[in-house]
Amino acid sequence: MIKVSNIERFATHDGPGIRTTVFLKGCPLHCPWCANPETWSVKPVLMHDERKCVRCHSCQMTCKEEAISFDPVFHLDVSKCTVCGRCVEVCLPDALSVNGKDMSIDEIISEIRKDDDYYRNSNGGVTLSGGEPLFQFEQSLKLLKELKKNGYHTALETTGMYSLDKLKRAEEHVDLFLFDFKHPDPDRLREVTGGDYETIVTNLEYLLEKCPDKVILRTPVIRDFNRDEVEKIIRWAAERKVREIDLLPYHSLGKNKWNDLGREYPYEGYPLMDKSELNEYKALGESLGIKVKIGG
Amino acid sequence: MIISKVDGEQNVEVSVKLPSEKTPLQQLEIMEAYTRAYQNSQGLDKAFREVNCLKVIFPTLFRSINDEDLIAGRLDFLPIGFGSVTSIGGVGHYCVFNKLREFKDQLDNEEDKKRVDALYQYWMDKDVKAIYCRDVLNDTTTGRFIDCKYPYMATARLSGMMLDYNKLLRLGVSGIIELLQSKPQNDFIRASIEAMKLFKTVIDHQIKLVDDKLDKLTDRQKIKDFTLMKEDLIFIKENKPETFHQALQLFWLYALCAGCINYGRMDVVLGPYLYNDIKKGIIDEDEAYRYVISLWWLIENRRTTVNGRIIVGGQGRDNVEACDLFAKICLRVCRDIRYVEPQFTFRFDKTTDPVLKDMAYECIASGATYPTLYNDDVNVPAVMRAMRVDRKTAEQYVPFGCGEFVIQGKSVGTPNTLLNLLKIMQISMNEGVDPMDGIYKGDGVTLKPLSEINSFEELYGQYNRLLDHYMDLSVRDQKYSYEVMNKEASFLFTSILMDDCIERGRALLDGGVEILGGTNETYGNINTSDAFYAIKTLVYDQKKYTLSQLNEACLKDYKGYEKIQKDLINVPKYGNDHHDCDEMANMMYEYVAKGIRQRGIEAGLGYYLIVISNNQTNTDWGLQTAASLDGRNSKVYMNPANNPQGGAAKSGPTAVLNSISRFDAGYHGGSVQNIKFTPRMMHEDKEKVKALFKTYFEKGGCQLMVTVVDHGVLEDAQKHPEKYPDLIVRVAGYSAIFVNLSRDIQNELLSRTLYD
Repeated sequence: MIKVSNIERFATHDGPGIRTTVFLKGCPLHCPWCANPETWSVKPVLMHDERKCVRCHSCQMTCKEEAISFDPVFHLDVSKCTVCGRCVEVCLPDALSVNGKDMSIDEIISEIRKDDDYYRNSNGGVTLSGGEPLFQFEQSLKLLKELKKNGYHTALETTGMYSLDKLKRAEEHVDLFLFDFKHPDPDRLREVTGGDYETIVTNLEYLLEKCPDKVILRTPVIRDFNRDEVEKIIRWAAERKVREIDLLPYHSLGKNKWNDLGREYPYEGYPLMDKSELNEYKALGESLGIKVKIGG
Repeated sequence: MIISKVDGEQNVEVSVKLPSEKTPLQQLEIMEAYTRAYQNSQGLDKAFREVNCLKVIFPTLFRSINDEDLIAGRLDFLPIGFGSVTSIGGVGHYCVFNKLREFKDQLDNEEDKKRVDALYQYWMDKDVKAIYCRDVLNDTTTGRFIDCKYPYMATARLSGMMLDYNKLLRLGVSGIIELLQSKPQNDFIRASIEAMKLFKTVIDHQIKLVDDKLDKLTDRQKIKDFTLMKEDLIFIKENKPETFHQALQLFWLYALCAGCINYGRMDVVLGPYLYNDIKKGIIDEDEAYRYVISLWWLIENRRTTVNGRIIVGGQGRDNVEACDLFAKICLRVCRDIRYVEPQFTFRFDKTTDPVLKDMAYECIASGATYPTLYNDDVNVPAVMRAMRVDRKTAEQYVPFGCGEFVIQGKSVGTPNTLLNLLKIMQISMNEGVDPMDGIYKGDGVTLKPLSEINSFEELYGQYNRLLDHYMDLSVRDQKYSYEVMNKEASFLFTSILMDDCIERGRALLDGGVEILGGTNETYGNINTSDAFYAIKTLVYDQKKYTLSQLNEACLKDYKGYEKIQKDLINVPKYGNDHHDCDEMANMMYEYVAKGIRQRGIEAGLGYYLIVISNNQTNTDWGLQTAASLDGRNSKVYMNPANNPQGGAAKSGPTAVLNSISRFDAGYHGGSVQNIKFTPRMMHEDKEKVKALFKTYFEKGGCQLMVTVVDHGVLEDAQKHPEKYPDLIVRVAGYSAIFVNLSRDIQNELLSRTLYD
């Protein structure tokens, strides 16, 4: 069984063609702009949408662990919550939900299979994302092998934060790496995201050496973090013969999820980044022989 | 005669009609003259009575030509007159009573008002629809279209007639007269000749109207345009049309006189003329573009809301190159012009020129809501089976109105019966009583109380028993609508251009038309199947509730039973590619589709088929339908056409299209599907959306219509309607300016999933 956060059909941002993206649970990083913070923990998590809550206290009354309180808004004591799901059952306005479920490889494949005709007509396929899709490594590897066995084009949306050994085992089952490269400064990367520059770059360089055509670099562009580093990143990538880099302008689509997890959204009040702000880098890319795309 | 039963709203009317050009007093005089002609024709054959009456309204009711028109022909209609469809007046000799009352309010003089009263009284038992309604409607089962208290509505109308204009253009007016003269003479044929002579008078009148304009015009281009108009009117009065403009002019005037508001395969009719003109250098494509824009405007100005079909592309076209040339010009016009009519429709198959397909995509992506897409690879074989016709005939299928099929020039397919499947389900579960109003509508069908029902099959069987009864009523009343209409009128102009009236010497509904078909609009299809699936899951599979518990909660509109409602809503729903749930929808679709089709065959109709089309009746009827066991609350819209209930589709567009393409098109007479995308997706993910459409059509998708609108735009338009005068949305079988729709309809549109 593998722990799945969500399966999204007709995913159009995660690789070529029409795809199904399987969001897997678990992530070694903790990027403060993360759009999927519910995937950080490999375990199921309880989420509470304050906008839907009518404060009927049904959840509180049903919780045997006394993990829920109101002061006056909903509060969850994560240390007590066993994610039993009883509170979700009784929540009439659907303010409560559990993210994360165990699925067998067969179950996942049968869901993916539903859109086979669409992949075929669009040169699409399946993307594993997360979280870090290789976090549950042995299971993810099984899934990748099964996907390849069934003839799917596979893409991996990855942080690169795992041992080289794992990558070597997974590489042959992946057709496309959407490889995150967030910051050129190791200290800043560790401080903000928890990522280890050395590990990530070692993995990236391995791929660029072994299968450069299978790599697209992805950089989420975040004000106050790497906005001023974009040019440097592009140059860095061009030097290493990366063929394409996708600049992903900051968006706030993850905000509600942070709130639903009872966490403060670190980018509260930050303006969305307009795509056009990054257009200038297309020309830079052209001059350096690397394709720069704005958006995924 | 209980006038209240037949009085009131009789069709979906979103677009506001242009007021008549005549003064109220002139209008009154015309209506009185029409009535006298009707009275004075007593003792004559209905065909002669018809032509006598037509002589009162033609050419009188033609209004002046607009300065910008490039084709002559604008026609008013009055609350009393002759017609085919309720969108412009009524059927046969009609009186639209509520419109007549509104008309009366425009008059100041008491004496004049009394004259209106006299007309009102006179027509109460002569209006064709009133005659039908008097015989068919009752207080329990059968309501007027549109009176949503009933599970079943029936009406008399002759909707969707699409004529064989090729015949008209091939023979010309004089040629048609000669053809009629060559046949054995009877009242129908003689009256038809009179009608064609009247048509010549109409042309003469247009020439006079053009002359009036020419006297006043100073602009050189306009003088040129009107001079051409005059020359071509003079020419087509006696001769077969030779040019594109002449062909267009003749077709248009005839469609007006026949009361037709759907036009059909105009590429087949006009393409060859256009092709020849361009080849000979008579006009260029830009000039043709101007004419087509003018046609678009004339159609828009008729304001029929749910009609105005112009169809291009597809199988069964002799001169594909010429047809495609016309189609391309229409696609250019469609891209450039934002009108809600014509309902521009694109038929295609695997062999269609990719350039045309791309042009169609660009129109849709630009937010035009047009063209609507019809897949001939599915529809032609489906029509062959559904209507039991050969391929050559099936290739001439055309969707009209909200999506019902007819065979152009060969079949009648008017939807004169409508079923609310969800209401029928509720009545079947409550011993014949409609929970909405507590009125018994079981019509004598044996229906057990739920306490005596022991299995899902028994429950479903009971629903089918009541549905069988309503299907029996439907086919009886559909047939009867033809009998009543035939007794009262010959529909001469329509008959003349429909196979095989002239050869048989018989009027359209008098044995003249080659295929006398018909359609039955079904509503609430998906709510009903979702409700049955929820019952099966919660009562019989999971045994979480009893049937009576669920029904009790439903009867209380879930007040105090919110947990049950939540559980019902959480059962998988159609539109998410869920195998068992979609199978339930398919099983129920096949039951009603085959049930109606078989009844049609047994009743001797050419065909009688369900259509899963939609105008806004899913909302109007939903507002008078009690809470349902799919978790839907009372007085809430029902699902639109073949789509999931608003908000139920949560698995993306591939899932919804997979669910939708599951039904076998070979048993229905038209089924429509809506989908909503953002402009971002249509433009940035163009290739992916194209692949999505392509796959859907390969999987058996028969039709698709696409609204392109951005996040929050519809919401903002509700708050600030003044900012969105041109925002066009696809309701289902028609497009409309969003802000002109009622709040309930707007809300239903908002509930549909927007893909980004």
